[in-house]
Amino acid sequence: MSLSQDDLIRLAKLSLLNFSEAELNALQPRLNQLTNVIAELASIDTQGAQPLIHPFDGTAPLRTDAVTEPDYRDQVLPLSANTADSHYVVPQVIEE
Amino acid sequence: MHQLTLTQLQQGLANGDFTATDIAEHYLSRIEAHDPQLNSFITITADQALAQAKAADKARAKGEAGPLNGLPIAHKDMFCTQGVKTTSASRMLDNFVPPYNATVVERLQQAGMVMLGKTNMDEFAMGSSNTTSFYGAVKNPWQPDCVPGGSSGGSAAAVAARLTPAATGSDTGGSIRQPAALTGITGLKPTYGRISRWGMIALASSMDQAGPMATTAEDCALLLNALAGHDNKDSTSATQAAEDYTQGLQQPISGLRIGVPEEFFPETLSSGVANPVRAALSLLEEQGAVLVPISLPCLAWVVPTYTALVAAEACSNLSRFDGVRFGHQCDNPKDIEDLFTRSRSEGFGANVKERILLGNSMLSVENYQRYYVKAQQVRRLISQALTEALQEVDLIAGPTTPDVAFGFDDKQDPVSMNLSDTFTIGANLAGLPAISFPVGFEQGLPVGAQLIGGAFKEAQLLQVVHQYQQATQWHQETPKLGAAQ
Amino acid sequence: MIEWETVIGLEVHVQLTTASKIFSGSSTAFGAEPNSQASLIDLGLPGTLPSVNRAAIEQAISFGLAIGADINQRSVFERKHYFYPDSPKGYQTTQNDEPIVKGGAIEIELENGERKTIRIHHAHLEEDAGKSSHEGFQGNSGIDLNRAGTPLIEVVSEPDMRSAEEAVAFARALYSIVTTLGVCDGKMAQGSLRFDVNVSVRPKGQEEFGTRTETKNLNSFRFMEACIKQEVARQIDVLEDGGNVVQETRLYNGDTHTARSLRVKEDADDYRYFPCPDIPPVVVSSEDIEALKAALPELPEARKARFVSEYELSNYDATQLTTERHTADYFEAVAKHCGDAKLAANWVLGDVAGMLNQQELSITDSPISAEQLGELITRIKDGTISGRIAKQVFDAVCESGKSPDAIIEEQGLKQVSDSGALEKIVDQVLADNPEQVEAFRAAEEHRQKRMFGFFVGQTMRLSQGKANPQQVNQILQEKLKG
Repeated sequence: MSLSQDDLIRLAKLSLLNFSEAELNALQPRLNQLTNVIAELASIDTQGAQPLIHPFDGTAPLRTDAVTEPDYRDQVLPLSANTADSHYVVPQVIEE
Repeated sequence: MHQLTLTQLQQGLANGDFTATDIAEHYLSRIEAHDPQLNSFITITADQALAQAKAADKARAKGEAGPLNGLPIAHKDMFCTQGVKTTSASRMLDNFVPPYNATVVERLQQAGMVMLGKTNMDEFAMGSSNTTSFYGAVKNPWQPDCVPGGSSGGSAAAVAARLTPAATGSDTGGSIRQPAALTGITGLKPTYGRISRWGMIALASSMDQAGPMATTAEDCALLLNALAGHDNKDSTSATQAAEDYTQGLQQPISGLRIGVPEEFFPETLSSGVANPVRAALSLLEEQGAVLVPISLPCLAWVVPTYTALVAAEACSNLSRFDGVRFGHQCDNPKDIEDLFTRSRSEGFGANVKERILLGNSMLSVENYQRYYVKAQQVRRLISQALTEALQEVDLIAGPTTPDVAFGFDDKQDPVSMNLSDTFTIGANLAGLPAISFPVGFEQGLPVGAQLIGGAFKEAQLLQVVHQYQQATQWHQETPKLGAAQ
Repeated sequence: MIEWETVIGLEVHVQLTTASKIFSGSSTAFGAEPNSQASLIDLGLPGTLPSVNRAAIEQAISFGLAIGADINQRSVFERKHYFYPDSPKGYQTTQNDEPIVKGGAIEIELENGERKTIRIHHAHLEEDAGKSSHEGFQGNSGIDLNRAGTPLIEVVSEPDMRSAEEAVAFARALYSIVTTLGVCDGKMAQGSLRFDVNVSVRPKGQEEFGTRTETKNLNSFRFMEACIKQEVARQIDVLEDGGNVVQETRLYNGDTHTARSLRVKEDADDYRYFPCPDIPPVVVSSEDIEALKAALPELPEARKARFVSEYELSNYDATQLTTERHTADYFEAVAKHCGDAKLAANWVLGDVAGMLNQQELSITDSPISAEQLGELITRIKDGTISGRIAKQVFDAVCESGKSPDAIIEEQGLKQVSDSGALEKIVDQVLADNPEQVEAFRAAEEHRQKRMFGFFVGQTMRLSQGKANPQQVNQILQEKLKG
């Protein structure tokens, strides 16, 4: 597996990250070192092995349906750079 | 006073030799004197510490002092602290003051501990060198031109330099054990789920585990007593009852079977690391343990598996940082995509961005089955191999790291950075507890050994290391500050 | 000339009725102050973690049982990644590979009585997003995250519908099921039920499907029908002009009744699903599922059939009454009280429905209770009041809340059935209209029948509507014979 410049541009878009061309050029060999390491996985025989998603082998505890949370606005709205009228304000969103 | 362990400070407080305020003042003045050279703290909470110390003294006067009351602690800056800036060492969170405490912070605060400050780390805990922090690199107190390890490098350096008697850390692939080894302290990564993840800023949710870092196993046990236990705010928190981890420390280790995988001592391992670790194992043998040579070929697979899985989980966990509700927001965004993209690009450091790209690559349709699911299958094989080995032996032992602390100029490529976690990653993939403890020096730099135990066998790990530390002085060695600067 | 066949599949977002959110203890109540119900978890603040709400799991299972689906005893929440300001974590927590409900089917009945089975592919649990508003933020948008984390089930049908009419019938049947179960409040104007419609056309007889478009977020049956008809016509136009239908997402505007293309689906739509590492698999026991099965209420289809057989109602009336659970409950209470199901159905579907519609009330808020309506109908049946007076009493009950008996008593509306008193009134009418009496008596029998109504009307008027009409008929017939 090797990531091309085009792959990186697509991944950057998917990640919502901006890179200059110089940054991308520097990134490409570093990322491909990592993907080469990952590519070693291909040679491992995993036949019959169930994916281990999580070392926690329990099941989700289920919470009783009750309203327990207060109104946090006084504490959380100040964490945002831009709020008005109890809303988070962002540039116009066209789609709904 | 700073040569005392938490346990000794606890006795001093109980005896009335000094007050919590005395202790806090002493450590705060040490931080003030030495941290400018080490850069192990991002935030120093002097006023709050003195207020907490005063409250702890009052509680003691009223006879309400628990075992940790009045003892100092420093928190890795990925644990949310109510009213105190919590950054994960990222520009993204340079302005973030959470209105809530991590369970780790809450529990130690409830126990009466005094928070001295928030320690430096690799940005979002991604790294093994503590060079990626937005707040600058942390220096190894033993040799300031060397890294302290990471990602909990600030906590490790601060404890090693005795700027705090203990600190919290987090360990996703070795982030407690590797810096503990490189700075000559004791660090425990408990079983996955033993300590709640609530309020701990996530790197890879299926591997992240908080744990104590201190100078001795006994101190780690004392802290684990307060930290361990189920938390209903974390659905992956273990329901097994926590124990009194200090209780079994004095038990002899005779008959204990310690597996020594040949893969932990490859030919390429430097004798400077191998020799002290072998000497430590011999000492344990003298104390009655039985050394059993074993083989774990699956350890060869841990780095690719870990690299794929951590990147995938991390990029997902980091997608909540979009500049809207908290964290860095760019100036004058021209549209919503610009707001997201510039806020993230300005807020994240280069290393983090690199891992986000890698993670999204792992999760995208063309790679998901081929690499992500494959890595989970390999993870199953690794976990099975470790678990099976731990039915034959009680513990698995070896060096914590393949090398002692490296210089700031070495190992800047991402692959060698991951390789330095080769010995520690297995425990994270399988969710097993593991501990690193100092066993000697190589050219003036500490060497650490690691023990990996069965799930929820923290008490046993702590017992073995405590027995070792009763017979050795490595954990009492302290770096000479000032002189070296 | 090609004959076209329409193929429709629906994805329906059903907001559940839990008190708290799917992963946090925040309230799900509608209409609160912006962001006053957005907790640390709902906002996706760093280090916060989800806790699964048992009621959301149970409601999804109840739905699955109601449509005869398989319940996955082990279901898995996954993360679906996309950036949008109303989606606080940069991913939506949803189910993908292992949804809680698999398969099942919903029976629909068209207006011509034809029945059809629409298969359900699966239904999965997920969290709702917040809302953006565009007014009042100086050209910017304001984000309210109160709705973020409200539990939804997304019901995904197979592409089994072949007309807008079938799609609407399916939507209505689904509506009946979820409101009957009580897992959705059915408040469509508040977005409690939202439909995404996948439409394609193909030449009749062709096996493979045509390229489909998806129109999102329709929240009324009427819009849905209009939108599908429009989209089908548009696609046929495109194809008949030699063009190709483009796979795209479209948005219907209920004000202008037009849909526009939102975005063309690209390969870039890669949601990068993976199992959420913060939420272990949800596992439910067979005992829990059995208990939920035992607790299922009677479902609309079964209830409709019972109304037809037990109450001898028409299929049409039974359908109307069972579309919404509370209407059916109300009807049954009225019928039980008065013992006359037909009259009860007429009143519930007629006067009661009209009054509620006019006052924009739901049946649970009806100003006349089922017991009061039952009493009113009883009074018609036992001759205490006439049908005409009954309408007057109905209005008075709705207005005052008093019982029908109290109103009849207070306003003296009791029907006059005392033959002495009625005879006096009839005598008066005959005395007042001597010419008509003479004409009647002189007329032939078949004309008399038509003239008879005049005397009945006069008698009722003189009695202020209270005269018992049957008795009036009898007395008049006798007296007019002369």
